[in-house]
This record gives sequence, structure tokens and C-alpha cells, in this order.
Amino acid sequence: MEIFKIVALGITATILAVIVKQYKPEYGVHISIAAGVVIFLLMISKLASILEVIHELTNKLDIEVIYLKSIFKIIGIAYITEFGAQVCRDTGESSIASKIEFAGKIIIMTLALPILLSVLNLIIKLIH
Amino acid sequence: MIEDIKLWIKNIVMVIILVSFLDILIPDGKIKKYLNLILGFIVMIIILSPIIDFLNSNENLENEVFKISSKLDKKEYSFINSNIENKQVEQLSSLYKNRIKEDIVYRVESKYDVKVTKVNIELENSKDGKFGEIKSLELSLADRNTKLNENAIPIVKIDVINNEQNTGTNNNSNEDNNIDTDLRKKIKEDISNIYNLNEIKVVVNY
Repeated sequence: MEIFKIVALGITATILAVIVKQYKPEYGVHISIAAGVVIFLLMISKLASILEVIHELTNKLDIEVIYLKSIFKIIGIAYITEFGAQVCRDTGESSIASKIEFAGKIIIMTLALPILLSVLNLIIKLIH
Repeated sequence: MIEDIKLWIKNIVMVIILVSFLDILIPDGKIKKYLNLILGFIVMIIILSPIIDFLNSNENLENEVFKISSKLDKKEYSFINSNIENKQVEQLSSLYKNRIKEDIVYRVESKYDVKVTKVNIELENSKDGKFGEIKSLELSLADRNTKLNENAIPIVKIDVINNEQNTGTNNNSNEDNNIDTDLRKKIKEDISNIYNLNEIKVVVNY
């Protein structure tokens, strides 16, 4: 079972990080980043298959690909932003974390802006 | 008609299932609310789509989304582009300045028995045809044997804007300084000839 692997990895990394932090606090961060990346890499194939299925589903539906693409991009950006922000927050650098979140929000907004504006235009047209 | 309504209802159901599924995928945190907002907009578009099609059949919402996003991209790229252009011009002019400096140092040092300690060049910055022309040039020279710490450094100044009357006054002031005027004059002439400058633009300190 894959979940055992991941949980074992996570717990081992946590114990390691706690032990290492007593002697060299700066290496604890490295361990937590590495554990995060490894868990993400283990899940990436499954995530790809999920996305593939969703893509196929929407092909059958009448949903346009352009919306789906931007949704997937936004979810990816959200994950990466959260990952970076949490790593920063773990080390106590919450100000850097909030800046990472700020950047993520802006990028998400630029991706979402076309959808937002087109809805707005549509509503204005309906009113006219 | 009934077929259309069937398709519409099917679409709505599927989109809502899809969105609730995506809701699980979204990471918890501060960004979740923004994602929920965007997902809400997309559900809204799907629900409204038959009305849109009914009202204006020739205009497509996806085209509009595409148009707006390309417009945004265009704005962003033009911004980046202008930044890059400015940087390039800056780098080019600094490279050009350094080349001229090296060239002058090499010419003066190889021809005369002096050491060039400092070269100050002012370049034309306006974007018309005069870009890169030397506005003024200031040379600080020292005896080859004297150490740098001994600050007996004369300056040769070349100034383009002034006319010949000013050269006269410049020369006078130079004589006042009681420095090796001959050498200075020679260097001045030399540099002015090479770079096609008015002599007034060149100031040589020795």
C-alpha cells in the first residue's frame, strides 16, 4: 500500500528533523523540504492519471477546454504556493511566507481575470 | 428543444460534480477562497451558456476569454520588453564607454611617456542621430615614474559645446597652471583628431 510508504516516510522525516534540530537547527529545514518533495513526487503519477480522467470527462461534456486549463493551472499554482509558504512558515519566516502567498494570489488573479471579465461583459450585455 | 434542455441539465450536473471533486483537490489555506470564487464563476458560465447562445449566437464566450487573456499577455510582454530595451541600451553604452576608455589609455600611454590614471567620458544620451557622441572628455595623467599616491595629476578636458573663443580662455588658464602645456596640447590635438572632436571638449590634467 502506497499510503504506508508515505506515512512511514513522513514519520521518519519528522523524527529525523526533530533529532537533527537539536544539534543543527538549520538542517531541519532541509529534511522537511526533501520529505515534501519526495511525497509530492510519489503522488505525481496518480495526480497525472486523475487529471487525465477529468480531461476525458470534459471532452464528453460541453465544457470548454480553456476553462479547464486555467483551473488546472490555478490548482497547480495554489499547491506550489502553499508548499513554499508552509516551508517558510515552519522556519519562522512568516513574512516571506505571506509574500509568497501574495505572489501566488497575483498570478492566480491574472489567470482568472479573463474568465472574470468575460462573465462581466456577458452580464452587461444581458442587461442591455 | 428538449434535447438541448437535456444536454444543459447534464452539463450542470456534471460541472457541479466536477467542481465538488476539484474542491477536494484544492489545498487548504489562504488561497482556497480565491479558487472557490473562480470555480463559482465557471459554474455560472456553464449555467448561463444556453442564454448566451440564445441571445447572441455569433459571439462565443470562449473567444472573448481568449481575447482578453491575449490582451493581458500583450500588456505584460510590452512592459517586459521596454524594461529589457532600457537595460540593453544601458549595457551597450557602458560597454562602449569602456572600449573608448581602453582605447584612449592605450593610445596615450603608447605614444607619450605618461600614465593615464583616470578617464572621464560623457556621452550623448538623446535618442536621435547623435547618440553615443562624446560630449566631453577628461583625462588625468601622471608621470610614468611617479607613484599613484603622489597626486600631481593634470587633467586634459575636451568640451564640444564651447566655441573657439572658449578654447582661448581654456589655454590661458592652463598656462596659469604652469604645467607641461606642450605635452598637454599634443595629447589634446591627438585625441581630438582621432575621435573627431572639438578640442575644447578635451581636458587634460597633468
